[in-house]
Amino acid sequence: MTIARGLFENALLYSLAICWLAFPLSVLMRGPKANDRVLGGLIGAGSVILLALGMTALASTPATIALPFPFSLGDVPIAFTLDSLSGFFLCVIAIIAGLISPYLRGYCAHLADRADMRIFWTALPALILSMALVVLSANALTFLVAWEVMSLTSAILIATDHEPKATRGATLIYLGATRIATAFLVGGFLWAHALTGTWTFADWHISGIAALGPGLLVLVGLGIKAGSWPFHLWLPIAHPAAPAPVSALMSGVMVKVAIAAMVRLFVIGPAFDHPELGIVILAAGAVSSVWGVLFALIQHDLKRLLAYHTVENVGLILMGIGTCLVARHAGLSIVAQVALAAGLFHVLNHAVFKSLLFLGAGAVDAGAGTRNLDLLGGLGKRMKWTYACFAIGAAAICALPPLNGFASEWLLYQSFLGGAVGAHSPIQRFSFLLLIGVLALVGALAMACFVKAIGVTFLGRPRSKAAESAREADFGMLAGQGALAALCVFLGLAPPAVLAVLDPVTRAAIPGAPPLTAAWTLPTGAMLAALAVTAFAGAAWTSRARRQRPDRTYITWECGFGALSPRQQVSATSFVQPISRIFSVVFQYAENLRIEGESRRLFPDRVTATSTTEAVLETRLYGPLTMLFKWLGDQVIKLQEGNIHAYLLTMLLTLLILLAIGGSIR
Amino acid sequence: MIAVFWLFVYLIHIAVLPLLFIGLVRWLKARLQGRQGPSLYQPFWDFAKMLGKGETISETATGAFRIAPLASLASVATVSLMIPWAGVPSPIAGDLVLAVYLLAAGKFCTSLAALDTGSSFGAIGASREAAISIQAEPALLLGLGALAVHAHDSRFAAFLTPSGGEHIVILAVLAGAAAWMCAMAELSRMPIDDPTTHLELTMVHEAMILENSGRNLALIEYTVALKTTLLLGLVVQIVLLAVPLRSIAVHYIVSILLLAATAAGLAISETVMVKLSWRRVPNMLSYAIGASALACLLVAMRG
Repeated sequence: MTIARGLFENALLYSLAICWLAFPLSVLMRGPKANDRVLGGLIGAGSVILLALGMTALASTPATIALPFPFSLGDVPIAFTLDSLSGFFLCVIAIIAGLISPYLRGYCAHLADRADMRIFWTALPALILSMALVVLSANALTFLVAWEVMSLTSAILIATDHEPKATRGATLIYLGATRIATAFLVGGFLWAHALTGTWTFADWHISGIAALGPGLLVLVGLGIKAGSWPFHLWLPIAHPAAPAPVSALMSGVMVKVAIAAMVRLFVIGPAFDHPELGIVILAAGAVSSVWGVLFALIQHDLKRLLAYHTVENVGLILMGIGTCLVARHAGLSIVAQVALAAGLFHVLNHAVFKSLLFLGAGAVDAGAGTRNLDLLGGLGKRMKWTYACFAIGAAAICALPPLNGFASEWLLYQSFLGGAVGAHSPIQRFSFLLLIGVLALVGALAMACFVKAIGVTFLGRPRSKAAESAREADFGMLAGQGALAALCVFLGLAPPAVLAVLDPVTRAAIPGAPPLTAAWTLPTGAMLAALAVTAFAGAAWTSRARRQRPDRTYITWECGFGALSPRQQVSATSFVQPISRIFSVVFQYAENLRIEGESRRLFPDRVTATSTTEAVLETRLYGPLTMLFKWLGDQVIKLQEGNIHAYLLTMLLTLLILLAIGGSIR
Repeated sequence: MIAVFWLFVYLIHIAVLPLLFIGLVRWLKARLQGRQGPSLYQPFWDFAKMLGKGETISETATGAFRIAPLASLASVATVSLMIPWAGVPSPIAGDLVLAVYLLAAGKFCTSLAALDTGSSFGAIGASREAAISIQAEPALLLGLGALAVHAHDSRFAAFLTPSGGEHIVILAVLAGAAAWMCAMAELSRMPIDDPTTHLELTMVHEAMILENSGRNLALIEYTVALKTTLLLGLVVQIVLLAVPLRSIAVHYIVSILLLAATAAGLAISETVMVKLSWRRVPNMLSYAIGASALACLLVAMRG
């Protein structure tokens, strides 16, 4: 305990020191190359310290550390909780931040002539540190301060390359989303404070109908940050606009910080306890997962596609958390335990493979100068290692065994099957069975989407000059991706090790549950052996035969019509056309075929075919809502026209309203 | 000793039965169409011949094109080792989720290989395969999931062992029907696709392997044969849940006969039926999802 505390304080100080050192360094050393190397190394070192801190927290007994007097917010101390939950999330933050650090230098070189990297290098460590502080915070005020620093630094990072208009728009949208999220959180926290009289999370135990109000407010606030449906709209706009390593941090880690808070407030403790909250989380998760992957399918921008997959994967994590709550209320402790473990395991997995994929997309962007799928193609020959790493990440996100995504999705399936066996009402049992179908649908759609993404980006022939002259990323960038890809494989091969780490977290949520490692019943070793033996036998046979009769290289079959143009290849749109047709209601998919000419049937003069997709749910549903907010914003601006009388009146009215509210509460 | 014997039976299954099954389907089809047709063992000779041949590879192709047939074979063979055959214990105690996702992993590799050459044929095949999967996979998992929940265990060894219970006949028929339709879709068989044609409009599987030749093609053909017996064997196992048979030997013989019956079913359907229009394939697969959902409803109401 004392050792943990000493380590904690030291580590925090070191990390702080690194962050503050980074700022003057970046200003002083204006030579870009050396500068980037030192700062990337500093971030790596800071992550190692953070990892040590997380591991300490995982191993030791829970402790709360309040900073001494001057470090307080009013009469509430700045306090941190060191327990298995915060330890686990600290490890996730540290692993991703650490593995991104070698990537930074190579990537920043391609941004250097467009953006002021000093701001980037100042905001990045602050973002990492503030995420750690959000996860650690023990009371609502500390949480909000850290949360705000996290939101603002990430907004600054999105605006790094602020020349394009789209990036500026994305920054504003992101800022708006964070404001709304914070507003909901503040509302929920104030309500909870009014009910309990304390700001400390651990002392909030609101149950019954009273939990519904503050619980839902907090849930909305966290849901916006996590990018859950129906609050996901900002995410596919904001995340792709940032530089790739920042996208990786935001999609991989920052959305998980909201999940950490959700687990702390709704699962462990729980601060807010009501049976309906679990159902709300589960439903939001199910819709998010399908929605995210459906809209990912029709994207043309590689990073935007990945951002929609974040919505999908957050949905999967929420399904785990929701199932845990529902099962716990039904008294199914093993199901609840497995579901929570599935959610948390997927937090780690998604952090790893989504960061990897974003780094890959960044390498494509830096190497080929575009991330528009319609202009890419054939990068597999030009960027071999990026291609290999991206393929591993894609297989992992599609939950293909034996990679890590499969391990967590399998646990999720197990919890649904367990729920379907154990739940008390037929409706609940049927719902759990249907969730299996939802998960399978999401898996199949994700696979279609990533086959498309790899196929159009890395396979076939280049569709543009830019893709033709693409360069492979430098060693540092590849090292970051390679390490993440290796982690995908390792986590997939050793699920019991991860479950052993998660065991204390699930125990805190479900007291008296059996050891979590017993949940993993798959014969991973036998499966790997069978896979390896058959693949090796086949490889041995074909390589022997290949020596006898070497391969002949020839063109792709063009039916004898002469050389194929790269434009004759499948495009991002045409690959998913059959699926668009199946979901034509969602996509408003329409085809228009026009044949002109004298004898139209046999000798047409002109054939034109157009197909359109419109994300109708996104445009029609959210369009009016956005317009409403814009209108409200325009009205509010009128207050700020510099008229001092209006300001005074506003202040007076606010004071009166607050007094009235305060009086009515007393 | 007995365990070694059954392991041997297993390996025979994986090694011999698939090609024999394909031969049987072709032989029956030839007879039904009034042709003499090739011998029952022709697929074996074809396999041996293609293995010895050289390979022509497109200059556009990357490593995925070479690795995919091996990865696909490994995944299908591993799944084959997970499914208990007529009460014979399987060497690997896999469960339904692992099996479906391993098969998906094989499809992932073959789809990438189809896109690898930049050929539009391969791409159309891969695109259609993906479209079929998004309905077939949920249907298969829901149907098998209903059986697993019925048996309170998701491992094949547990829920494919006849245990009786209420409504098992209806459950077996519903899940079996769903699995049959999924198998037809996944294997590109009638009425989804005609396996005997190249360069037809509905082609799925045949389009994907247009660029493959020689050893590569031999591995693919073998994998497809293995997947055929795997999925149809699964259908047979599900249907046999309705008729609990006591001894393993009787069970085994009955399931082999039933598998031969499915071969006859394939031959007949490929002789008398016409292919569905590609646009109507989703309709057919929604029947599979419907059957699975009904099985789920039955299990949920009963428990």
